[in-house]
Amino acid sequence: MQYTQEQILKLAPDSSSASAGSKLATPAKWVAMHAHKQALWGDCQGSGKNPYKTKIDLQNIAFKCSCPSRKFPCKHGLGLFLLYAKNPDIFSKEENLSDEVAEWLNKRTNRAETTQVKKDKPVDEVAQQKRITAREKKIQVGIEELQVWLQDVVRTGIMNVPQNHYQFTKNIAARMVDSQATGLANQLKEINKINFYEEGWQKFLLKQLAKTYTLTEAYQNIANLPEDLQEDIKTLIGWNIPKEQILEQPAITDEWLVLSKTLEEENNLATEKIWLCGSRSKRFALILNFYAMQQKPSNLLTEGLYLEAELCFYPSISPLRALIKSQSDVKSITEIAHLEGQNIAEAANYRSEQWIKMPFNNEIPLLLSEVSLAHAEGDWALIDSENNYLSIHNSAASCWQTMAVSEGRKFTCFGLYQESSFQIHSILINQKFYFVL
Amino acid sequence: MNPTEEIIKTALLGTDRYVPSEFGEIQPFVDKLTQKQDNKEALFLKSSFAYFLYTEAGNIPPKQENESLVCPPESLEYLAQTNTENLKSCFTANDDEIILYIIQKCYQANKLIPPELVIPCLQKALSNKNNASMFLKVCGERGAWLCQLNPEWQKLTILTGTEVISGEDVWETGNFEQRQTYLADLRQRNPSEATEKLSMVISQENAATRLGFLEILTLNLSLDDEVFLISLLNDKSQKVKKLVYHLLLKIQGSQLNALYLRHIQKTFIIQDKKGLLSSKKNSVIDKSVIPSEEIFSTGIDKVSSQKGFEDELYWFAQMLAYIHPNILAKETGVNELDLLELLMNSKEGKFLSAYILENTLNFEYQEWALALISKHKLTDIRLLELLPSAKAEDFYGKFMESNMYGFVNYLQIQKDLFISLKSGKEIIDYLIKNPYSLNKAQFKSLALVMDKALLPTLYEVAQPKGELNYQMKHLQTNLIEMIQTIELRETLVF
Repeated sequence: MQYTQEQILKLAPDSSSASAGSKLATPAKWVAMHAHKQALWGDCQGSGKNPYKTKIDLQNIAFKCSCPSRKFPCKHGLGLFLLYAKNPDIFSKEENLSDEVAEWLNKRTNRAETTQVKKDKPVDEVAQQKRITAREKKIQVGIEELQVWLQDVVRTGIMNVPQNHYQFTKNIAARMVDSQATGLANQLKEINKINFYEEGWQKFLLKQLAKTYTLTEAYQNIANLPEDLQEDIKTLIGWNIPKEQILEQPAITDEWLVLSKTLEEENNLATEKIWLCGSRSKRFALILNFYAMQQKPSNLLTEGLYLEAELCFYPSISPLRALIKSQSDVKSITEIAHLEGQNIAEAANYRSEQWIKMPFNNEIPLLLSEVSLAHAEGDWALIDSENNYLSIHNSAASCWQTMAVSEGRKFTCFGLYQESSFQIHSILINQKFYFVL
Repeated sequence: MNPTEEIIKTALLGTDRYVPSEFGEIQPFVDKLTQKQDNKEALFLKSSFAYFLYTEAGNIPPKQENESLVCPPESLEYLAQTNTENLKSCFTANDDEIILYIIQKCYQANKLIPPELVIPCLQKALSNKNNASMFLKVCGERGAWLCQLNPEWQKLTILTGTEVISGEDVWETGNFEQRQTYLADLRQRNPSEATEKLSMVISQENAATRLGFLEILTLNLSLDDEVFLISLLNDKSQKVKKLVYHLLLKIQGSQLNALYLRHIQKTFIIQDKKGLLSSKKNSVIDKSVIPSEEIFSTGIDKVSSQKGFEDELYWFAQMLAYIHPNILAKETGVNELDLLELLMNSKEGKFLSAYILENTLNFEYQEWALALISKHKLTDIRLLELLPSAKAEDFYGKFMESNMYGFVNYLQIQKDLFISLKSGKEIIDYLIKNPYSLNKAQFKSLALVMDKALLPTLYEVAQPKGELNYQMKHLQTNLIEMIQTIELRETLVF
């Protein structure tokens, strides 16, 4: 465990927790502080009569605290972790875990085993098949309804959509949720992200409508598609594959670098996206976590960390989404020697190949090397050594941060190709890794 | 019309009114789709998807020459890793007091902040104009380079005077702050040239600018400025006029000051009162002498609003504030400190003390300041500012009792101030009794200048001791922050 103060603060659920955690990173607040190679634990004197008991699992970063806070990690967990990062010598070194901490760590291990047991329970295949058939029927009805709606939209024209764009997809998206085609509902919700006050909305809207329609047809003709592509189409429609089934797939063991971590919130549902890149396999992986309101994020990875882990990928024609089967170590490395990327022309070819394989691909991860940032009249772009140009759609603040750390020199960057332009998430320059989004 | 425009036109109008004539290069594919006998809406949607995908996938990145805008290399060293970590944490927690402290130290040590903190630092510079040049300096070449690129930060180069323009140009074309900085600098180096430059433009400036520029004349104020200042006595602005009178009266030997001195000479008499064994000096103020109308035209208030403060004495007191203690001593034949005692201990002393204080501040007279604090219990924080910090420390307790808030503000503006263990303990004792006398930021600012030997005392007071009342809880929370601040300060290496 080699977390830096900055990385620990990134684990905070919000800035006030980070600030409160920093204030607790002083021995004056702790009645007891213990360190073991597997865990840290301590007693923090809070406002109550009895001190709060805080524990940190160092093997597989996790926090537990007796305080009533609903935040995770709470300020006590962050404070104890920060204090250890700043001043490990003041912790009393323990050979054995305390009973309480040992019990907590055992419970965590047992929970993982219980999941294993659950998985081994026999499945009622007949009932399962029945449920699948019923859902399939519902989806087919939903698709037919959606196709009629889409055809009606283009028959009458999209000219008046901006006048009432908030309501435009509301009913039909709700119908898709009722039809258990949540993927299609999400496709329709993408329309809400279009800026109807900006020139070019017509193209974005038509593209999304056309894509959704073609997707429904692809689903209706799914039997004629390659097996892996079928999985992609089913996922886009809204079929989920149980986690247990994914974890049964052969895993890829690698040292995974956390390239980016983002959290998007919509309608009380937060989607956490963690992009990884394998040092040996050179492949990307996307860990997706969903949190309902008040739910605690369970993944405590931050950008720039190396994770030694086994990943199982969801079936796809170009597999990206993965689950962590097991992880053995998390390392924070201050200097990263090299990340192999492509130039802009190669990346453009790669992007086209990805679309040939899977035309409905929304986000294509790219690692670009030897690129520099160019800025003219408010527009930002990347330019490679061969003067190939790629426009980017990062916020101005993020572009200036990139400019500041790159000094106008060439760098390697990770980002996503979305909607005709690229978004930089992190950059590597002078062997240092910066998250700039 | 190209295929894209055709498709968009169809989408806008609807397939009932318009059908695209062609789909460009994917037309053969569209023809194949047509054979499937879909309705025209389905055909249009699928063909559009194929068209957009085809054009985007076939997009060859455009070529563009990149103007090489590379930041010049840095000549200074970066902050040590531990300092960087601490500074990052402070930026995350928005801990302004410690950020400013680290930046100050970094500036003094000629070090640079790490690249990833340059943007937050430039933003802080924009919101902290007084320290903008310091914030900009620690950003190094990178900061200056970014300021050239971003119009928002270009203001900083103007604000901090780092913009490359000559002094003459600054005076003629610079903004108010730049011109003020230029004038102050010139006044320091060559007072008469500064007065001359100002005299040429002052009539064209607005009242606020005139006031701002004239305030600079306090630096190296002398008889040479009298003619220029007299020419401004008819200024339209009352504020400017008041300042001009104040400046003229401060000049010892000016016509106006001479009027005051003459009145003082007439009214202020030192008498020897003979006793049995020795004689004792006594000050007498002759209230029968009425000042001339010329004196009243200089802004002297005619009527006293203080109960028991006679108007005649009030006129004398106002004039006393503008006569330098050395001149008063010379005129009366009594040394400055004895003269102060005579005035303060006279029966009019309680009324005169405010004007003696004004006199001390006007002429920054250290001996009187010390005597007023030590003997006469005056606790105006401005007196403490006149004393050297080693001497001032002896009176911290007194100033804390009377005005803790002002006292902490005084500490904050002192350069290279360090509070000793003894004074630190005094402050902590005071805070135990008055935990709400400081705000959070002030607790932290204090910690930044306190001796680390105070840590055991702080630990002891901050130690949890069972159930506490809310006042003690508040104090403990803030003391813990003080401990943390001192500990953090001690880990910094420059």
